[in-house]
Amino acid sequence: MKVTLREVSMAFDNVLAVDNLNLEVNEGELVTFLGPSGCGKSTTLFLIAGIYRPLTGKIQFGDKEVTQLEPEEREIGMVFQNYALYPHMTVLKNILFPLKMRKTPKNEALQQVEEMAGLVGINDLLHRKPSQLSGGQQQRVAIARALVKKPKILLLDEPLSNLDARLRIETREEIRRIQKEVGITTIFVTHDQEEALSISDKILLMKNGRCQQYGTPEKLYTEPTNLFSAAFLGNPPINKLDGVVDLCGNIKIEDLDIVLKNTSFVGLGDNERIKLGVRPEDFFVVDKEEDFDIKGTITLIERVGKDLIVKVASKQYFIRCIFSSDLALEIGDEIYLKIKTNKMHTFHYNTEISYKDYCWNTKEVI
Amino acid sequence: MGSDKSYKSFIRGLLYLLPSLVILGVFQFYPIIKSLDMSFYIRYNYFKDVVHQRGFGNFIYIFNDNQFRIALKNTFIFALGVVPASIILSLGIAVLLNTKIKLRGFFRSIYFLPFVTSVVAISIVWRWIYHSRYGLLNYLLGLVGIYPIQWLTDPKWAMVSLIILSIWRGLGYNIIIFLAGLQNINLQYYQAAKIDGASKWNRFRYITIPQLSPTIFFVSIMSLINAFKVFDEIFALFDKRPGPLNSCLTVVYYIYDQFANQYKYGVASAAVYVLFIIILFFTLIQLYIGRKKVHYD
Amino acid sequence: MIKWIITKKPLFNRINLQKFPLDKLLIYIILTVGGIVTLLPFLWMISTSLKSSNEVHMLPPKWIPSKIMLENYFVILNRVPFKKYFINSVLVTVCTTVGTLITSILAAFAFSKVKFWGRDMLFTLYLGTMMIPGEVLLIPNFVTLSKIGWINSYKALIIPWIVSVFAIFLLRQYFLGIPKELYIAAKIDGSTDWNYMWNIMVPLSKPALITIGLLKVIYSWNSFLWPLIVTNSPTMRTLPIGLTSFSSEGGTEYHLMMAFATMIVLPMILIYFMLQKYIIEGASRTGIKG
Repeated sequence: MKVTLREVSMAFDNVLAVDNLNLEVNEGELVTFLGPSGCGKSTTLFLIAGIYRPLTGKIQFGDKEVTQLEPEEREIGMVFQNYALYPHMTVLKNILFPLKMRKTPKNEALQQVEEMAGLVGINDLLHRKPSQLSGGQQQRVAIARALVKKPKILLLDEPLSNLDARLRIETREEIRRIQKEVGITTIFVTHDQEEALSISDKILLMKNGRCQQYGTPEKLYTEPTNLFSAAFLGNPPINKLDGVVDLCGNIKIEDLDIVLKNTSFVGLGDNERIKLGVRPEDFFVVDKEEDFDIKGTITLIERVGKDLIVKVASKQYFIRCIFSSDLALEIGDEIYLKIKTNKMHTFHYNTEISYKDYCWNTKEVI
Repeated sequence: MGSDKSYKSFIRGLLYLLPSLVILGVFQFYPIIKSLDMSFYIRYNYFKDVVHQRGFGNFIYIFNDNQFRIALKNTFIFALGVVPASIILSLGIAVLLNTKIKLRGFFRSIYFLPFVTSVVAISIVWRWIYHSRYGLLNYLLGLVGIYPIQWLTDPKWAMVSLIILSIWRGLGYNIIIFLAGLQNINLQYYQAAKIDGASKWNRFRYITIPQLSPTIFFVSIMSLINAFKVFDEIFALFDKRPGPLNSCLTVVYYIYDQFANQYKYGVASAAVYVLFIIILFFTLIQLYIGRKKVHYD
Repeated sequence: MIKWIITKKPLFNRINLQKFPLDKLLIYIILTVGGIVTLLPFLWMISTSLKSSNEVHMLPPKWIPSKIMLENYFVILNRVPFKKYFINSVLVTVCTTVGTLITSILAAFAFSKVKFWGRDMLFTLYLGTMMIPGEVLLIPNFVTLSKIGWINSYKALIIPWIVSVFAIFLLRQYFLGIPKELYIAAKIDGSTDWNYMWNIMVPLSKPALITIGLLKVIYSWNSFLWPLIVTNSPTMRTLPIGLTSFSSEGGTEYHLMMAFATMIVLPMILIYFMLQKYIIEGASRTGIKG
């Protein structure tokens, strides 16, 4: 089922929580709502669930408008952060509950529960109470309960945040598997960018109730539409620099006291201030005899798997880079770096909007 | 959970409240006003519920009625006899129960037992205990050389009997409340005081008592209010009479007597309102001071 | 360091052993004496209820009757309309308790989970009634009931007592503690408010409901002044009223009176010992009985 939001707004106590949001989620997609806490992602989810009613705007499931429908009329399934399993009921009764509410015949219902329990892998837990289950098992039960009535849309509200790190990765893969198998349109709320990047078909990045960017994970990572988007995704985060660009495409970076010569970034006026974003992986090490952009000292090395996260001090400024651990680096070493300028992100100084979009927009105007 | 303004949700809320609202309306809200109104009835026909005349006559009557004055006096004597003794005893026992002793739960269960039993049944038992000739109490006193006391027939002793019975009965409830209060005191205060060199008594005096003072205050007021309402015990202990020579005539007994035996509804209602004002006074003190003391938590 | 602990520990124990017994012994003695005083009337009641009428009037009194007279109980069962009193008491207790549970569930649900205009005001109004002593309501309620012809009926004994504001208050607190997500989850699962209340809230609130129920059972079973006023025929009397009239008719037959009293007291004591956790828990939250 396709989900469409048209100019949806929502406010609590006169504070806008969701501001004029437009969104289309296609049939069978898994879309993540991502953003810092208070960005309106959960509110948006609750609007789709029907727990809140929007102030303005429309919500459509398929061709049907559901804006004013009660949650129980929307054919949705939902999984909560704390799972919200009914503590006094066994796993079986929990999963059975939605079917009981719609008065499914007992035999049929039991069969559906069994099917669902098989799908999420909890067949041997059916007669336990939620308190006797681990967090991961409770999560599976919650998913089974959400899916058993064959909803058209599955909503998950930070479903992994109560699990420990390893279980989280396992469970998110499991959720992805189940979602693919059922083929259900799914919306997943999280504040964890890694989670979002790993399982989504598309990500809706939000801040202050507004959509910052909506697109595939690759698109968000490689073509952020603004500085917030660039900074929110990626770990370690992008390096933010201030620069001044001239007519020839030379970019002067004052923080580091360097000039990047002859970049392809031309077309702005002379001495235009811009903001730059360079991802940690977009540096490479060169010998000091070679042409380098940045000269610095290594102040910290952190090993993450086969990669090294290296913190380099240059002038008064610190840069984070990622290198392969093949490199023999040590704290205190002098290091010479070059920036992959073609991968560099450039943003308008005031609006922080990417020049890719900006130029395109201005072209449009011309 | 839906919007809270809509007309639909208002109806829905009221439907859930309907049963309790109807009962409370008929048997709680309405009678408060009706009772006040009735206290001004002077000439009326209760069977037809027709009132011919209203006035302050009933209030004038009760304040000139020697019986009512006796009832007020007895009620206050009773309250003063029961409340302080009961508080001190129950506080002492609660503190002892709050130490690390075995059988704590067992003792607590025993002390609380009178609370769950019928006042009337237990008062009849006490009537038997107080029996001047064959009663257990005089027998036990006789063992230490005290002459038999006419507990229930001597006007001097009747009130004492009533007070002893009431203390005995109310102890367990107060102990439970005190225990709950004691368990809310943070143990760190005691540890700190111990390190500061405070003795057991000083810890009781400077930590337990101040920390428990809101509870003590609450229990005192509650006990006082309950003492003002004493009736069942008297009725059963003295076999439907307010003690010898009205020695245990209390306000509620007076109300009962005016109402059920003499059919003076107006007079009884006026007496009810006097009692109500007294109780309300103490309730409001409790609410007012109770709120002030919240900062101890 | 380790050595120090090892050498120090026995010394510590010795000090404890020497210091504590006196304190503790005193505490035990005081508590035991208090316990005996509390229990004595009950023991005396049971003891007397098993004596023959001769032995009742014997000095010095015996604690254990020379012959156990269980017959006293059968005498009571047969001589006074005890069975009728008992049935009345059970009926009134069961009905008021069930009624209270139902009205409390409904009201507590409205006050905790349904949002509507005027809700908080109504709740304050409800709470306000806890300040009103029952004596104030006695006379007008009697008048109301006589007007609708309910005097001397079960309705009079039951209907005014099927609402307890304290119970509503207690249950509302409990309901408020149930996470909101459960409500939303149930809604999404297709449950109506009504279903949610009975299927989720009520089973989850079992401890609170048991507490409320037990307090009501005790209160109804023992209640006296109201049944005394609204009943006038022996067939409508409850046990406590029955006992007072028997005691004025019975005169000096204390062994029978004690048998009667035992039969009133015993059911509550049994319930108390089985479920005291709930009763004490409930009582310690009150200030108001019933």
